[in-house]
Amino acid sequence: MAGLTDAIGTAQRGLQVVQRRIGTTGHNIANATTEGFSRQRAVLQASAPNVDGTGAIGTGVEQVSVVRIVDEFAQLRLLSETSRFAGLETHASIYGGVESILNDQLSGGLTDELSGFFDALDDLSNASEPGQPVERGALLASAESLVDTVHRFDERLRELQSGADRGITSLIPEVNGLARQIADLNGRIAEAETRAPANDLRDQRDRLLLELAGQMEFSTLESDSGMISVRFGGVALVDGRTANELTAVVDPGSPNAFDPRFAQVFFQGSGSSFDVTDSIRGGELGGLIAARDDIVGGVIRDLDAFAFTLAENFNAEHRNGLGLVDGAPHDFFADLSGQPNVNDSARNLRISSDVDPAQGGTLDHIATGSVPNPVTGGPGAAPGDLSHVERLKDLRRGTVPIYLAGDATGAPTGSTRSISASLTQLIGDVGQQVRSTERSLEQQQAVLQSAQDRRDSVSGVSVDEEVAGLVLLQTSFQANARVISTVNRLFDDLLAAF
Amino acid sequence: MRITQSIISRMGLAQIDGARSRIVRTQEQASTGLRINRPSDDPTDYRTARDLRDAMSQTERFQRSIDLSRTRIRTTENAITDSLDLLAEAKVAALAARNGTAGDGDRAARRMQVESLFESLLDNANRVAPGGGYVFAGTASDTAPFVQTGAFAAGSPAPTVGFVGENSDLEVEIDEGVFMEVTLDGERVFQGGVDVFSTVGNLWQAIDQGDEAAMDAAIGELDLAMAQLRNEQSRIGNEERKADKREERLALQLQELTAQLSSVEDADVFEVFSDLAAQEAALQSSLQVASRLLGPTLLEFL
Repeated sequence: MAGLTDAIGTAQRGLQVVQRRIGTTGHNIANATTEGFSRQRAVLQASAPNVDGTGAIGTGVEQVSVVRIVDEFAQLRLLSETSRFAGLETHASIYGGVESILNDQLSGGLTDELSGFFDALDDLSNASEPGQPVERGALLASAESLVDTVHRFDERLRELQSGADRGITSLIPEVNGLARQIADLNGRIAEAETRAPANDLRDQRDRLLLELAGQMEFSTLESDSGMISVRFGGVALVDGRTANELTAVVDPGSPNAFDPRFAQVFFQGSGSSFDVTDSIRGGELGGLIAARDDIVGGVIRDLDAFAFTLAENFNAEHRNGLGLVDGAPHDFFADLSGQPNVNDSARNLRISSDVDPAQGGTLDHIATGSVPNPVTGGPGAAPGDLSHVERLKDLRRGTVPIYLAGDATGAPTGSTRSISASLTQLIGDVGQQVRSTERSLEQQQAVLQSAQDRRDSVSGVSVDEEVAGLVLLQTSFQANARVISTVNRLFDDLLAAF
Repeated sequence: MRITQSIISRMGLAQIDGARSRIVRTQEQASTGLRINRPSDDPTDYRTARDLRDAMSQTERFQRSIDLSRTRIRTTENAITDSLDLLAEAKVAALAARNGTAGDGDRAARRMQVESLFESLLDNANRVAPGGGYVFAGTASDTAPFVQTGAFAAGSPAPTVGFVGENSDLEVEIDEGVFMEVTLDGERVFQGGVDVFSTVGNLWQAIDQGDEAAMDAAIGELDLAMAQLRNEQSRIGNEERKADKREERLALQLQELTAQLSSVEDADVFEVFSDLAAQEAALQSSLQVASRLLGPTLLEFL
């Protein structure tokens, strides 16, 4: 008799397990579109058999636990590829901004302004009116327009840069929030897993880690208790139940190399605080830091070098010539050679006060001639002497020493080439960078997609699969119920025999 | 590989995104007609296009130089031609005065004629270009280069003319390293081998004094003076011909550069539109495939 009772118990446990499994299947189907959800599976095993003299009789099935199906490697790969993609995406968008500022393919670009300036010189060399008041005025106007364009480009690039700076500052609280939530989940997971695998909490934590990976690159390490520490650049952002903070501060002790008014990212550890700006890579945060300090900063410095090259070389030739009034050498652009290096030349570029009537100078100081007026004896050049304009015009295509970003005054490190070629080079280089960043981004998108596909292939819910499982469970439920009804009939038969 | 709904939808979306972004690029090319709309579209060809544009604007500047310099060349040329006419007239007057039958009154009329020729000659030598500037003054273009000393008075020596300008032929650049003279050195033109003014002055004095031998000498000098001016006339005429030749060359060059630029940066219209059609078709099929694949699950068949 014990056998039949046991059989009922076995079937009953079977029914219970089927019900639980239907629960798990329902959970999976319900979460089929939940971001970051990993499908769950009941882990079953045959329960301990009853052993008597005749052998071991099985007592049916039991559910040991419910686990989520994850591939840790796929998960880690997804994190790092997400960081890389977010970083590149930020670079690409910043580069796109830089390019649209500098783009001169359509019109109104810096190259057009530069050639407008040299065109005005050309007109000056063709002037027949003594003293050329009209052409001198036009030259000054086109020089002012060139200077304004350089200033406008510099300002727009700096706006882009301050935008990145504000972005960095506004992302920090987000990163801190994620770190806190991860630390919090660490605690809850460790506590919950003393009883059973905390599948859904782990999914939540994975989703937060993925979000954090969109902000910056980091490495993870899981402890035996199930807590994950998040580390980057040798510091732990999350360590067990503790989240350390990042802060964006302007600290005179550790100023930003480009502009001391920009914020640096500090790590607030237990009792210590230090600059970790350079350790943050990848993700939107890392991307913005690189954009601010390297990408936009680099282009601003290139523009500085261009402005410095223009002013220095033009002035050097201009000082060799003679104006109409006196024999003294005059600058055309305000002298920048007092600067230690080329930095900030774009915003400091100005017309020299000598030649600008608005600044108390006179157009007659524009050096058009080469010898003192032979008729009056000088000291200024003759009003029809335009021979020096030819020398100035030569600067359009003639090669001069080119300053590169960061060069010290008086020590240009670029190859000798024409001023306009150096400008084309500058803009062309940005184009090259944009293109290669876009290519990398496309590639990275494919890589990221394959990482996402890999993760989904392992952990994603397939509705087909769940439905098929449901059909099996239905059969299994029916079969277990049939065992009970059969045993029941056997009992009836047995009772009827008495 | 285990395929889940999320993989199918991601793949479908990525294809649709890709197709759309390709269409956007092609559309831009179709609307601007340019293959290179920003440096990153083709960094190498962008630089080539820039260099070509630079060369084009340089060529246009040279064309402009030629246009602008023509007024000064013409002024110079006309002043010399007019002076030649005046000298020819002086010679006719001299021959008439030389004729023995001329009476005193007639001589006085001739003298007056030569006086006015002298003044016109001075005006020609001090001619100003339409844009301003004395064309025979060299670089000292703000002051009249020829200054008269003394006045015509019967019985006294003829007035003299001195050069106070600067001795140079002004040049402008009309092609890479090619310069063209637009004005001539006034002293060489009017007072080079022969001083045109003193020649006419001598003639006036000879007529005034009725000195026939001096008249003969003056007629000889006039011939020399005319030869000198004709020399200068052909010099400036050559400059103008040089300008004409350059202008043709520059126009050809500009045409060539324009063609080159177009081949570098212009979009091939047929290619763009056939690309656009192909990309539209690709987008439509991506959309159709995605909508078909995302729908069905096993549920529909149970």
